[in-house]
Amino acid sequence: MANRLVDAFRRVNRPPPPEPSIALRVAVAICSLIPITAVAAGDLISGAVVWAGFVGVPLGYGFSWWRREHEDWWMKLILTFLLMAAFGGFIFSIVRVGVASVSETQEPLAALFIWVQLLHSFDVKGRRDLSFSIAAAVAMIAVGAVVALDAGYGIYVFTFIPAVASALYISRRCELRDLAGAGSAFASHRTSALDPGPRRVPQRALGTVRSAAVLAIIAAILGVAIFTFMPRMKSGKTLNLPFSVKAQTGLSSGGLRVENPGIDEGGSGNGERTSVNGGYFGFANSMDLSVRSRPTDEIVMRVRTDRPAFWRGMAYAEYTGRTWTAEDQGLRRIDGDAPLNIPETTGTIAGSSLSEEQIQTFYVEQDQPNLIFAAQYPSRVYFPARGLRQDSNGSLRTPVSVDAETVYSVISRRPNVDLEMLQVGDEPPYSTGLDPNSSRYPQKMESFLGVPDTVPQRVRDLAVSLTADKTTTLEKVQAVESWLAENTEYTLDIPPLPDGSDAVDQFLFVDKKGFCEQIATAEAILLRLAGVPTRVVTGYTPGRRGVFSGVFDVRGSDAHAWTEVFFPRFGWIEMDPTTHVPRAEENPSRFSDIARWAKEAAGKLPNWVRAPFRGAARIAGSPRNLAVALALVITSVVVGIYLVRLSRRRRRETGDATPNWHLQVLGRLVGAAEPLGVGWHRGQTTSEFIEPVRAGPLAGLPEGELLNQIGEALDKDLFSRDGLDEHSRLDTERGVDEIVQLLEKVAQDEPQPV
Amino acid sequence: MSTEVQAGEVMAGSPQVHDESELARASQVGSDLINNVARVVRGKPDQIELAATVLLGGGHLLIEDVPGVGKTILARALAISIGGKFSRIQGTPDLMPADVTGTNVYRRESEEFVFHPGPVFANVVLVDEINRATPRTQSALLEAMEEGQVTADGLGYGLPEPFCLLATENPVEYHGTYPLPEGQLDRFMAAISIGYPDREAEKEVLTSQAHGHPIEELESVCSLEDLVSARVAVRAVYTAPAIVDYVVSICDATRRHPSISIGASPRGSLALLHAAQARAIIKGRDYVVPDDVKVMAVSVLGHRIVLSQGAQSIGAGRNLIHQILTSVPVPTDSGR
Repeated sequence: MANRLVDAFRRVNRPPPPEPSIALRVAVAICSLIPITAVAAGDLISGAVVWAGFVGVPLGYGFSWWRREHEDWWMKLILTFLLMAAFGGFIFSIVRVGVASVSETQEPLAALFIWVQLLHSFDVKGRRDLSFSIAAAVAMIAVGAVVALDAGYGIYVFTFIPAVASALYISRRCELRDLAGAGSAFASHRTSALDPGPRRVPQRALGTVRSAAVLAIIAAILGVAIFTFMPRMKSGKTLNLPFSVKAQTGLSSGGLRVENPGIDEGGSGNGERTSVNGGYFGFANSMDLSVRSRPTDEIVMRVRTDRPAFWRGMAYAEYTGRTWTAEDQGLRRIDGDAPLNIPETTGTIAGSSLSEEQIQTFYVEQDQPNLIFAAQYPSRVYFPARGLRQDSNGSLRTPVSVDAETVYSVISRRPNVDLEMLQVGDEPPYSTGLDPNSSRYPQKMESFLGVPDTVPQRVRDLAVSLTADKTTTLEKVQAVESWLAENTEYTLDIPPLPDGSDAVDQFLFVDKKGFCEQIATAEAILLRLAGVPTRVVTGYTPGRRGVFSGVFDVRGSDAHAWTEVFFPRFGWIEMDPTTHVPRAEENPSRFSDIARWAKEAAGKLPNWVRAPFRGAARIAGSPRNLAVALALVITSVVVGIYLVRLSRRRRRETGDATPNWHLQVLGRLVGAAEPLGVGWHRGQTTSEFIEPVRAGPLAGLPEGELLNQIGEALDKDLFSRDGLDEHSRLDTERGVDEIVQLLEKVAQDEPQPV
Repeated sequence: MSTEVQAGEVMAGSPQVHDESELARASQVGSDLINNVARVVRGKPDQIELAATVLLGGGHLLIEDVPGVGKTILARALAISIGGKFSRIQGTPDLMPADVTGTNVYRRESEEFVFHPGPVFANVVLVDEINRATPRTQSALLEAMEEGQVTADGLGYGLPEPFCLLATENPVEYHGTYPLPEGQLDRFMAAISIGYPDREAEKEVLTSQAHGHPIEELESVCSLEDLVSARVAVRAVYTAPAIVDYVVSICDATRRHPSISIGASPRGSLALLHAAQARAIIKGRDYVVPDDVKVMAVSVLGHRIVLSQGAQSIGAGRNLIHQILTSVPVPTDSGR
């Protein structure tokens, strides 16, 4: 076993013969460039590295081709040094930033891969080296997939597949060409040695299973080893999270007011507001419950994080009967450069046992209001602006516009409170700072209990009757939510709010239908009437997580309003009453029936069936994406076909025979016999090659007869009427295995050629 | 029996339905012949095999060597083994064509000429020292060999089937010989030499002939019918397109070789293919492999080429064929 390992190692380390095929080199170069493009598209790597890759890799392949016949030890030395440097840089960048999760190694890892590709391209002399390049490219496409933001990455994969396929195909042809060429070299009386390089014929069936099993075991061992020995950083270190450096337009209000590019405030000052591009009215200084809007279905931002959360933007505490108003006085200034530490606000949970950290990076796709959307309780913000404004309800406003392509990151400390903990009740011990007797207890708690006089008596009566026998906050919340679930319905399609009527009253007793704003408002007001402090917040639901990218895609239609309820022991806890409210029947129409039926049918399909269609639909959704994707795929297919044809034509021109099973098997025998001084040339028949092997290295051994049978089988395969059946071929290959092993052993025992 | 076979038939890959048992029988005939002859010709298995192959392949055989190495014994043993009618013609300068083919004799009783068949009317004809016969006599033999018939006084008479001519010639004696013209040489499927036996074989020859020659006790091992059906089976042996290509390549190479002024004729290619088929049968195969072609090529082509320089001899021709065989690539693809 050990002997065989050493032997295999020696064989691997033997320098491969130079590969003359230009077509193969071009194909492999394309294979290397596609992943670099893909990784570059992920927008993680610095442009310098990417351009080094783009320019350097073709240069490297050209250089390798030019120097393919030379040993160039100095080049190897330089490359080794540079490779060590690149690896050192990788380690250094990981240690320097401090890595909290695997996902943060992506950037340095991707850069390292580009360097490896680039440096390796300068030393690809043989076909084996080229196949290493292909393997590295495959790894890099995988790295790119991890970095990718959306299913549009499929473009690169679909381009990459034909590129790799053609490279592998050409490589195989080249290998067979060498086999055939070895013979013609003899025929023309040249004495060049036969190539003893990789000529193992892939074994069918059992052999495949065996090698797959070996590979799997090696991968498992390596994987365990890596995860065991990889240094893991404790979280809480200074992180450098991504945020864009793009200069935004400064806002006239300097962040004092919420400015939503999705809302036209109406220049005439009559207060008429209209939605632009499906912008949501909930992201403003006030939320008017009489306004109806339908946000668009387009992606407004993507969130890279490890778990879903509500992306909270705005919080409202004051209710006037028709409108929620945000605080716009006494905003707190938070100055300085990113990252900004965000101070706690009223009712924030402190203490690590009750909160957990969530790191989020937001990639803004469409112009957004000047709000920092983030999971509840942001504690640190990486945003490309000096300073932010914070209101007492914890929503953050930026002094600059948040345009499309802005990137920012937020670390939130979300409450780590489950239902069981809430059930305990409202008695002490209180979380730090929440004790009503403490000086830090929010003095303005009554503002979260305010209910305007315009709210009709029947609403008040309802609140009392629902919560009369409930003592804890949670019980009251559950009572209100279950009543809403039983007595109201969810729909986006509700009549306008009549003048003079209260939004809550209208929703609870007249329409009995509403969407998130009405439902959240109703819960908030009912709870306030029952003595529970509440506020209404707006933002986005988590959105749908990309199948491949793992990134949350947030759409305009994910805009949402929900309630935050104050629990004395824990502070503000998010409650979403809308999830409990059943959906109302939409206006029936024949088309919507069909659409719903189709949607339901599609919903029954397993996810892996739907995912590619969704991805394709996403790509197809934008004509530009579609055009680029089509162009890339077509180009790569055409280039692949061209390269294959080129390599074929070149082979025809050099007049090499078409290789086949016969030649492959014979080639293995020749490769094994060659070191023992038994050669083969094209003018020899199979038996003329075999006879000296039997008489020489195998003299007196019983395997001589086996070799004879192999020779007969080889001839029968080619020249009999029906050829050799698959079973006999397998038998023959097994016999060849045996002979080759025997010959290798003989060669080892007797290193000098006979 | 004619050696003429439609070329197209072979090119199409011998479409005859081949029968497993026929193949086995033909193979048996071949090995019986070889074993039988080996009882009297010691230490020359390759030559015996070549001779038997030619017999099965439906060709005529020329044995060329110095006197006393067993040419005549080999030819006689073959003839006896077949068990057909055997006759022997001794080539001398005064041998007339009619002595070979036969003449019309006037019968007084019936008052007409009756054809009296000559010694060539046999299944196996041994022409000893053929190059001592005059060209006229040789050309009479030529007709017999090629067309399987003889002509006397303008009338053609068919020869029995199978018809096989074994000729010997002596390359050393040049006095009073008439070298065979190329046209006639071409009609022999193969030309072989026997060569001196090695020491062991020679001792064996001496001891075995102490009390009379073993050929006296030799008996036939196959019937004429057996030989005829074996010859049919030979034609049914599968020749892959690549094999046909290989044969053509070898013959083509003889035409291009700088030391050869006249290369092998298409009749030569055909003979090579048939000889290869016959060898395949003897080796128990129903398909031709390149080894068959290669082994037979030296004997089949060696006497057919005319050298452009140096002394013309069958030996020199064989050396050139050897050379050509190492340079023509053996097919590594079936061509199917």
